[in-house]
Amino acid sequence: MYTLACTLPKPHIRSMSTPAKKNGRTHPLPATGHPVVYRGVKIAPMSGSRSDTARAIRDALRTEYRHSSGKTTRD
Amino acid sequence: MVKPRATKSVTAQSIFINCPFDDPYKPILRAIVFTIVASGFRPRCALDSTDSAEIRVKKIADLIRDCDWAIHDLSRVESNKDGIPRFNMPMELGLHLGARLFGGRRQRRKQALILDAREHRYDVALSDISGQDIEVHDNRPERAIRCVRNWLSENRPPGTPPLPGVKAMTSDYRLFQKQIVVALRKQRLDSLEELSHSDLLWSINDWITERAGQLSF
Repeated sequence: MYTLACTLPKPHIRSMSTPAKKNGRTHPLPATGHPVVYRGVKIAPMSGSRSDTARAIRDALRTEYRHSSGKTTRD
Repeated sequence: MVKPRATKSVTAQSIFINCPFDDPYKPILRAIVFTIVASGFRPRCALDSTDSAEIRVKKIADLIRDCDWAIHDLSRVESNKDGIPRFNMPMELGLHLGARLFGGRRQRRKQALILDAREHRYDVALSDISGQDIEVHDNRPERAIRCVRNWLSENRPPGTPPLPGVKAMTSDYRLFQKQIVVALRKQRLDSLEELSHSDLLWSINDWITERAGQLSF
């Protein structure tokens, strides 16, 4: 017995008829923090999530600069 | 997943780095990344994300499309121990030039800095670009800082404040390296050489934030 090609299921048509499911974010994460001015140049804050390593480095740098300037750094 | 195109303001600030990622090149890459961030731009490269399922050339093409600026380092055209040179960097330079030649209005505005380790080597290796200005870093991070800083300064939009000088940027880079090594040691983390590209970017940004606070006092 033969099956006509037109009676076969058409998965591609089905998948096209429904909107593609978004399996992740499509826009970058908003930048956290404020821009800073370094030697006259505006430096925009970074966007995205930082790793534990990057967080630890930031904390160490903050502590170091807090000690050297004798002032508290901003969050 | 289809990635959205970067907005105009993001592309205007983004610099694609087309360079080797081998260990001997890392000090130069770090210096270039630092200079780009300290100049108010955003460095982008193939190390930004590690999605193994992503087709590499597509990822590179997307990065080139989304960056108005690009730095192409051709210093690895020399043969490796197997006698084979790396063709990735010249190919990506070709993609960039193709976008500039055949792309839309925005793509035609692309700026490029071509770097090499030695003078006039590209005349032989890639004679099609022999008429173009190529900067030489001599495999020295300080020279790379000078090349990138001067290129960005010369091509910055009119009316924008001048970039810090080469001396200021180089001394800040040395200070960054010194302080980041101390921070890594205090936190019992891996050495600077072992830091991932993303962590390096965050560290540079955080260091500049702290340094900017100190300079303004």
